Amino acid sequence: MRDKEKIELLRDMMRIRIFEEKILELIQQKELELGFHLLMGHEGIMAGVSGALRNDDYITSNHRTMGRYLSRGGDTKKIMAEIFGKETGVCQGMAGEMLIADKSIGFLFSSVTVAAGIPVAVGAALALQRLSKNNQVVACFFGDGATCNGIFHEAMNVAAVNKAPVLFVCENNGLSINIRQSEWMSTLTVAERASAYGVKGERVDGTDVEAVNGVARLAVERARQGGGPTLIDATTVRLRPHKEGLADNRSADEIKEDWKKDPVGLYIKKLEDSKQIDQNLVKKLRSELMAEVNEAVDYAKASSFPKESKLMDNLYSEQMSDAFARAANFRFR
Amino acid sequence: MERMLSIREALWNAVSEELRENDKICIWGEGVTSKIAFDYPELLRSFPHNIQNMPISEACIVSAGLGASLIGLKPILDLSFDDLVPRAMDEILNQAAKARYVTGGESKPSMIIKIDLPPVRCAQTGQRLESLLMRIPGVAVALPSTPSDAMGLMKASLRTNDVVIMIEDRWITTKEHVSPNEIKFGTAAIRRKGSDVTLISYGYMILQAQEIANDLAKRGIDVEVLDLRTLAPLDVNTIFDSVKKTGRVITLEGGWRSCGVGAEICTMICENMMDQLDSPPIRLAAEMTHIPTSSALRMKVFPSKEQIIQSIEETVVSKV
Repeated sequence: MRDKEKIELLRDMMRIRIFEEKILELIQQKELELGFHLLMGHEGIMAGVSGALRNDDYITSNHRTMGRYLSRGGDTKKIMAEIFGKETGVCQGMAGEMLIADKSIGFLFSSVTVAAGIPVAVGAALALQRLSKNNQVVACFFGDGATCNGIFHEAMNVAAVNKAPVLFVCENNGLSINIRQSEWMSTLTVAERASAYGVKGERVDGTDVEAVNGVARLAVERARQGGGPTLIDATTVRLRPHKEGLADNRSADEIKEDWKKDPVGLYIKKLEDSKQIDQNLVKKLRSELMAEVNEAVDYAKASSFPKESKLMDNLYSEQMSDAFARAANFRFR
Repeated sequence: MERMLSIREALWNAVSEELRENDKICIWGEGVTSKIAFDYPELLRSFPHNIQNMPISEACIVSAGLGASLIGLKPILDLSFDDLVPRAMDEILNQAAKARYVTGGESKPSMIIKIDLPPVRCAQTGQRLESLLMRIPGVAVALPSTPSDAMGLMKASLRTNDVVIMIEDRWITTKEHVSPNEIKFGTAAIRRKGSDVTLISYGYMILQAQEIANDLAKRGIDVEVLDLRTLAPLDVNTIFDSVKKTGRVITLEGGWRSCGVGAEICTMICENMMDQLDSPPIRLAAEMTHIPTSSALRMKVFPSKEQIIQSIEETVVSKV
């Protein structure tokens, strides 16, 4: 891997981290409400996979969307405005943090129902098989908890039987909200679930962004060449509660242990220790990204809320909306 | 040349015609190639690459269709029996129906979920769940009762970028010369003009309603029969105009009475034109129970011909 690519991975991870740190600050200042689902601890997986994708590839997501949007090259201002519920947001303030989609950057779909984005990715991949001239692929991101949902298994099977160009990316943090994996999963790894569908399962240390990137590159190449899907089981830590404001069952000591596996800190240390970057670079990146995120907060605060008329917009196409209006052209009591 | 077609043939005929113009249309479903080979073989012969079998994975079929439509395909997702729809309810209600809204119009799902109403056999084969679907903002629901309507509504569904649920009523076996015209969503059809009472229904029950109306005409009761054709949007204007004229209304459906199609229509009428009613609205619907398999009881769940006639006779003489 070239130094430039390593710095890109580092920058991507730091961009997510600094954005999410700002959210915590804004929650403390009561500028934002509680309930946000941060990606903190999963940055190595997001940046590693994202770095293996081309701009014309697609992703789908579970409810942890903000870091993914940034990692795919989204605009910090637009995502900040979105979570402030403003009309200048990615989805005009209608999506909030958990339902983002922006096709222009390849972010196709996300859902609160944690496994629901997985079959959407498979369908998109089947469509690309038919329509794409460039062998585009789709990566879907979900947690280990979602692999207990039936739709994960349906989707794996449909992808496998059609050799759909999909990367199933499991951010395996070992927790389903607050419950440890051994209580709800009988296999030791998520990766081995792939074998039930004739899919290649790859387990990788998700706190090592370069390792994730390597595995993802191979999976992308396989998918592009018609070799079908890969299930990437990337183990990592969740550094925040399931959502902000929800009690975390882990003890302070356990959380301290988890921070030792912080993928962002580990990568900075690795690059600095091996003298691949100097300390000034991290400082420089940090101050650039802080400026970017602060500017985004100003932008979001200055933006307007969507108008009340938006409440009934975008349920249907214009044509079908007209049909509804024509069929009942009076005010209901 | 117009041909004699059944509803199922008319639906596939519409798809076949549209496929000639739009190669993005694809049909996914469980055993769908063999189904079409029976139903409308020329579609399979002409467009084998647009028809794809899927495993028994209703939920995945719907959401995969959603994903495919976001990329640019126009999928028709054949879910076979109505009774299988609940397996894909999250995908319909939470995912497909909301994708456009929550993204402020950024995502534009465009897909048809095709469902059959099979002959009644048991508690899980033959129930009619359309009222569960019509109240979901973001989906349109069509349930045609004639081959021409099936053709026209399928064409409209293929030409609009929306999430459409197309319900094929297999209780109806009529064949007719189909008209090739598109039918707009939200336009009910008056099947019989009348002045004494408005009988509102759709699908198979409309055939029964028409038959009863013709019988009662001989006894001097003049029933207006209104076929909804689409449940979302609901043609409220036509319903209100008819009830204004007759002052009396009966709704007739094969789904559960509680929170059903009739419940919605009767409520709207009571809310908006109570002063124009000459008698209380009546809902005829399936009993609040399940379909027993015993052939002696099976059809007792649905409103009988006698019940319908009795309700009409009672309402035309009663007063508010």
